[in-house]
Amino acid sequence: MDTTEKNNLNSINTSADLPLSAPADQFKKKFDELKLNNNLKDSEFSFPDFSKEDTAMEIKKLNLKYGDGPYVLYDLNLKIPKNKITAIIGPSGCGKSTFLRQINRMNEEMAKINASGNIFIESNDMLDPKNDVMKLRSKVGMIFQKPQPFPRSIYDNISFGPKLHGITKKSQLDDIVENSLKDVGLWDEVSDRLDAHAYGLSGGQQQRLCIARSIAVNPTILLADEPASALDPRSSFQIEELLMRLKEDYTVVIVTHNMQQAARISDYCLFMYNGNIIEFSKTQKMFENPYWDLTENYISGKFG
Amino acid sequence: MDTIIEDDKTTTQKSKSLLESNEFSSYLSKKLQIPNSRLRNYKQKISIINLNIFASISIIVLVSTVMVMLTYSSRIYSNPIIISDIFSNLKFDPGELFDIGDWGIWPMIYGTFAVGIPALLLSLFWGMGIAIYLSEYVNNKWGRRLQSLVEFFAAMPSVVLGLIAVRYISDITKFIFQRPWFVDLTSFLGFNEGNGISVSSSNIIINAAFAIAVMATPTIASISMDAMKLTPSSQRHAVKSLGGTQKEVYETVVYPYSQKTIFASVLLAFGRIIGETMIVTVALGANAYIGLQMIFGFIPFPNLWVNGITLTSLITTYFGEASAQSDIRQYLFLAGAILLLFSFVIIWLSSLIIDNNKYLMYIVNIFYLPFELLIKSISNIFEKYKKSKDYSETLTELLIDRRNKANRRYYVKNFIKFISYVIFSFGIIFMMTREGLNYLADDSGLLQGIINFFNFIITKPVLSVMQRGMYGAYPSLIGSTLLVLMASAIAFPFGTTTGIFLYEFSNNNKYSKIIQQTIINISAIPSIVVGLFAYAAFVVGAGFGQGLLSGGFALAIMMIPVVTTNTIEALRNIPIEHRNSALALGSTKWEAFKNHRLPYAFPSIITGYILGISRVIGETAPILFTIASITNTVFPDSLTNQPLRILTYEIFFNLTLQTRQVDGYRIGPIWASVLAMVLIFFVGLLNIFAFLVRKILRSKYEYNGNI
Repeated sequence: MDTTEKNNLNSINTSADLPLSAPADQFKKKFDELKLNNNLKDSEFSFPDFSKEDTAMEIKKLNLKYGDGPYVLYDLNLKIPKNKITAIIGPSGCGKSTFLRQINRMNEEMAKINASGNIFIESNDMLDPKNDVMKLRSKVGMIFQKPQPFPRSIYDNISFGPKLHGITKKSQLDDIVENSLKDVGLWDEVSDRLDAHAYGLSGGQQQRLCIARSIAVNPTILLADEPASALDPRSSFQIEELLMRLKEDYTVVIVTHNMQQAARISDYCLFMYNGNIIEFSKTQKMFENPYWDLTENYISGKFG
Repeated sequence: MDTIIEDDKTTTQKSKSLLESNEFSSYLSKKLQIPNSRLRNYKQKISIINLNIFASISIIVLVSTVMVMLTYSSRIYSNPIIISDIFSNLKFDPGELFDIGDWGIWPMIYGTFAVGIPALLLSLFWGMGIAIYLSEYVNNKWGRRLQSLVEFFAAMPSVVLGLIAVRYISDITKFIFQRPWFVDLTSFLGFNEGNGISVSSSNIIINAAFAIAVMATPTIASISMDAMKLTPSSQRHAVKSLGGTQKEVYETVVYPYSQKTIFASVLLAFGRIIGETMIVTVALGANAYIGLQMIFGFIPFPNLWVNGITLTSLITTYFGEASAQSDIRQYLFLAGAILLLFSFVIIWLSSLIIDNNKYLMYIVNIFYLPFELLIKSISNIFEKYKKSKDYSETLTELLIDRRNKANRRYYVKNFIKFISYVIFSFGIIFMMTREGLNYLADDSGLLQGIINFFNFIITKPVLSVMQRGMYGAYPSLIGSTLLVLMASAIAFPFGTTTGIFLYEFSNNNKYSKIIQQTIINISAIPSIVVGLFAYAAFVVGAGFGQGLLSGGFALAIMMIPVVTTNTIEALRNIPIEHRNSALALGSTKWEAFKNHRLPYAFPSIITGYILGISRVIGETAPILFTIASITNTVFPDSLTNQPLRILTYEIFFNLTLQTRQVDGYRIGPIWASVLAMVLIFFVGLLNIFAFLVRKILRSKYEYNGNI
């Protein structure tokens, strides 16, 4: 596609009545107007669709506000593919971390929020208040930006989750600890000192320990909020390798500020702006030939 | 690179085969069908309901305190003489039989502020100096050590400070006031002997004000210091990198950042000063008299060299003398109600003033103007002798010189404030210890004195009080220990659960805000009002009589806010991320709290307990009417109707005795000094114990560098 044919979504930002950090619903309105005015065909920028077996989670009409404030996320509809890495990119404050945290409802632990819509995982609605949130969370693991091991031994860190869900036999716990550590490639490094304090590990090892801790409760989805941004390049590379390996067993959704990282490891890429999803496509297409001007400007580092 | 990828492949294969073959996923998925998730939710609900119930008891305590004070004092309306006098008469003199005489409340209100305001100004002078010196100029491990040294004086029992005021501070003030230049100065200002100035008396306002300031200074210092230290270091660095001196860092960044907390701490200290009971009871006498003096014949100024009476010392002085049904009892409850009103007004004012305090500090600073001028003139003398560098006369360099000088002056000023507090407060303790040990040594050397001191602690006294004396601290130590254990058994569960509820499970709704305000208000209740309330509610109301139960409840009311705030503080210091990680693994909120917040906060909570104990062990006012007595009982056989000997009360009692000789021992005020040494010794031990316990308990979760 020629650049001249590209649709100048940047014009939205320059218009006086819609500042850069506009509420998500107002932005959505402008966005829809723009599509309508330019007679764009839906098929050109519609999001990829997946069959039921290939879908890890389906998000329908997800809206979110903090308290009574403006919309932070507005009318998100998409399907996330199974056993793939989906990267979420976008400028600061566009709502990507909020979106990620909403998938396992961690938002409500941090602030007062108002959310509506559905997030279906294996036909369970995550947002249904009737569903038991602890049970749902055990299916969706989460890895935070900074490695946050509990101030206890390596063994205790990993066995905490399974113990919580009712596994008390020592032999079973030993199995789980060993398997989880092997899965993240940490077993050879720490097998002789499982009783050591977790803070004795290096940053990268700590982060892998946190991943091991998440997969010890056998989730289907792993959410990662900039998991490598606080690490050195070598550790960061190890985490990337690990995530690429883990996608055979888990669906990975990762938020990242690092374009190269998104390009390297993800299969699908999702560009968010002002609480809306602007573009969602295969990573290769997104990086080689994005549909919108805005996306290209962001990827090439012209703003954000 | 290649090797890494190969490594990865092998691990992948390994883990995959394990995943497929073993029961790893199978027993997890089976267990995750979880019938126990309902049980876990149920457990969470029960726990939170329990926390709610415990937390709401604090409201009952506050409301019932206010109700008791109001109902008891309202009975006074049946007495027309008192009612007509109370706000219209400037004199208070109830007469021998408490039936006719003057009943004006004004002498007490005057006395409260005549002691309180000088004490506040003095403690502000010391407290801010200590805070600035320790947070800005020695912000290292020595600073922390000095801070805990200063904080030790916050736990100083008030009755001991009263004793110190009347026996040792008075020596210092007498020494100064009898100098000719001071006599000249006072007569120039218009004070004179005939107007009530009594330089030879020990019971004068200024002594009490000094003692109260020693007690109130650590409150201002430590709270302000903590706030100052919380100033982001990036902001400090920003000012420094622009070439600012330490003084400028404080003025441009630190003070604006922490001023709200500083004002809160000042008002908190003022509340404590107003409610201070034992110091004024011991050090002021009970001479109801408005000592307002005209300096130069027309400027009204409080005379600080006279006796006085405050609302609190009125209550302690007359409560024992009055029979239960007499009018003066109700009058005392009225004084208690007024005191309660003052403390609540101060607390409410603090929330109002805090938002609008721009000029308050300047107004306060006017009082310190003489000191500032003194420092400036002294530093100018020093600068003269120091050979000044030859600056080429550019404006910048001149300015830099001037700013550096200002910074040096600022340093010296705050150092003087700090060191004068330390010297003064340790000096008076030293004077007391020296006298006590000298007396115990009986002319056979200091070592013998120390040996006798420890003998004294464990000696059982001859019990027949009136005939043979009361030497030996053992029964009163037992009594104090039992009382504190009783109070802790009541206060720890309530205080801790309230703190946990407020910080972890309350969602910041209206209800939790009410409880928060309640806890603040309870902490503002003066100790003597707690004593009155406990007397009315437990001794008389519930029929427990004087005994462990009544005394325990009274002290528990003092303890609950301490424990609650400490618990909240302990939880606040634990990073929230652990909880989030636990929640993301599928914990309930309760499980995340139980496994990943409470254990890490536990050492600090325990330390809070011990500090709470060390605070109430020195309390006298709440136990005066509820448990303390000079009896022969050492181990009580009942929780009710069984008064005990309490260490603090014994000090107070000995102070009021005339010195006399019993079995070769002189009893009376000198015994009070020796008993005070015992009390300080144990308070100090408790503080060291708290420090050690925290250190030991913390080591469990701390990473000590070993892999």
